[in-house]
Amino acid sequence: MSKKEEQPDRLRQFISWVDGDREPKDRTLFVMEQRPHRDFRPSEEEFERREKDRLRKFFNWYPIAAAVICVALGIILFTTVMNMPGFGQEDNPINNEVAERYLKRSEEETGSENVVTAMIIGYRGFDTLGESCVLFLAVSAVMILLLRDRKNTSEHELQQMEREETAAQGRSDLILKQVAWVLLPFIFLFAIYVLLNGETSPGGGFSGGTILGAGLILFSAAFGHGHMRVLMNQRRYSAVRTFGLLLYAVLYGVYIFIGANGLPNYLTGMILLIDLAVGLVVACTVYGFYALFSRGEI
Amino acid sequence: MIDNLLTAAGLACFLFGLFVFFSAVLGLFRFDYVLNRMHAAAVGDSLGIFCVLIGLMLLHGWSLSAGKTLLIFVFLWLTSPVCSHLVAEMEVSTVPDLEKECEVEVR
Repeated sequence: MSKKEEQPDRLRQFISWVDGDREPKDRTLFVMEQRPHRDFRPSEEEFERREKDRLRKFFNWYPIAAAVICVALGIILFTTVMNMPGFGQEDNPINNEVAERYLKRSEEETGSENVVTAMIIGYRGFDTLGESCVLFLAVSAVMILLLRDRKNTSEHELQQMEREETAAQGRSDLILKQVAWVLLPFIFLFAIYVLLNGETSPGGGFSGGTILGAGLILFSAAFGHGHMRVLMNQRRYSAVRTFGLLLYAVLYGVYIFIGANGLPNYLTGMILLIDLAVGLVVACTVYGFYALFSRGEI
Repeated sequence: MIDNLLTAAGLACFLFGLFVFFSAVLGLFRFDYVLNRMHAAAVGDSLGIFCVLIGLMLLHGWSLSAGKTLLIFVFLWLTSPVCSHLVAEMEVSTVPDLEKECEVEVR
């Protein structure tokens, strides 16, 4: 056999091996599969008896092992707690110059009146950037698993979904609709208030984004998928999500380069914009989970 | 005098609300059917929250926080019955033989 003929054959073997065909072209593998099992199979009763024996042994040991583990864990935790410094004492290690500096100079350094916001978005902005990335990746992973498209949905499933949707529209819930009609404006208003208010008072990207996402979920549940599609289809959803994360990354990069090394901080509205970016990512995450788990599409 | 009376009334409301919540949680764990448990949870969410928040308002006197508390409980009274309604509707529309589970009144 010449080499030229061998090459595609190998390739085909490899492809069939990847696809997991039961009967590979290579006969040796086939022969190995047909070989009888080396260990002997116990009969049904023998198997059952052994299984029961194992189970009984397990249940004999289980309480003892559980108790030992619990006691060990309790001892470890208690020794840790006993060795911890007393609550609220002045010479505790957490009361060092870092906390003092945060409290004293956070307003002039980050331009945010709220120390918590200054900390999570100004001083520890990288940490929050990582959290936003985690949320983004979580939605992407759920999308990979659950998103419905032409390749993984059969005709039958599509028809069934359509029937369910028409049935749901036929008996759409009047009570839920009325209450959502009353509540939704206030929910969105409150979400925007919390988002914009993170700079000066409790609030910020994560809480505001969660409220916004909850409002979207309520809208989607009350008025149905069709109305939601007008507001947000898959392209728009992905665009908003990516825009939020990119905005955060770019703004924080600029923030670091401008604000570090003793240079004055020229961008006072930065915290507000970063809060908005975080809010967009969080709202998209919350709503995306609901939509993907309930119907498999945005 | 009026202050003492208000405090006493607030405490009474608060404690009664706690009792209602306790029985609601007990019912939630002890009942075994969806509709019964929904009833228990709804009792806690409407009467329990009402009593607790009214008690708090009486204890603290009228202020901006009291107004916010009022808003909270308007929100809860709007949403909690709707949730119960949705759960009950889902149960009725998905269980094929409802007569076996509970009494059904046909109207």
